[in-house]
Amino acid sequence: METATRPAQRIATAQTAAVLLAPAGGAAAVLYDPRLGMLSGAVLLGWSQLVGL
Amino acid sequence: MAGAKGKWLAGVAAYSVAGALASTAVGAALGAIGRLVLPQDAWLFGLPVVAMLAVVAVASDMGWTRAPLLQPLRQTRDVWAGSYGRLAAAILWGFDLGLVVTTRFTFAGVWVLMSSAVLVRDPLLGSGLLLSYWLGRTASVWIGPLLLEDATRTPQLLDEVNRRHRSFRSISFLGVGLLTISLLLYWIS
Repeated sequence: METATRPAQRIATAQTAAVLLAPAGGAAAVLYDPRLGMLSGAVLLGWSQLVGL
Repeated sequence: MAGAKGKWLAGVAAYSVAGALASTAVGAALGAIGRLVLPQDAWLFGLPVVAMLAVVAVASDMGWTRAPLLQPLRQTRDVWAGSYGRLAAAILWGFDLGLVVTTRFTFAGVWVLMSSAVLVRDPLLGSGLLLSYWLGRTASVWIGPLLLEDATRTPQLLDEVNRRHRSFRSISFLGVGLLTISLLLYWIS
């Protein structure tokens, strides 16, 4: 049971970390430099490609 | 075991560097094309175009449009490993996928990324955008061992990833939204 759920939990953790990049990138774009938001958006787009493997 | 780890590390590093070089070159080329062909006030018409592309991309990924996504139809060649060996194949795979435009897209947001790289009219920022995209893409390879119970369970991991298609699609939408809004901020700041 444990081995069946671990990969799911780990992917969920990775997904959560990726999602957190959105508000962080948005805040950086507003407060510091919009280019940081653009770069963060590009990272999220790249990460989402994982499902295409 | 140490030899296997060393081979894995060499392969992933070669894959990552090759893809980074290819993505950086493509991004710089897109930025240079923008600088060459677009006027300085291109953002006045370019921003609405990118925003419209973002809406079309979301609609396409949600299945709301019947028109097929305009994209290359080929995938990278798995036979390269047998033909050239693992390390050379890793370099070729990285270079091929890093070019972005030579292989099929998972989500349509890639069009928003590439049009943004043209619209910024800056080869440096264009290369930064495509390199960031590649870093996000290759991150999954680097953390693969953390996601896996052991090397024999790769198929189960991929099944789990594919079960989360909607979740990854949502992250793609987040990326499209953040990129588009930041592009707007970039031009009005």
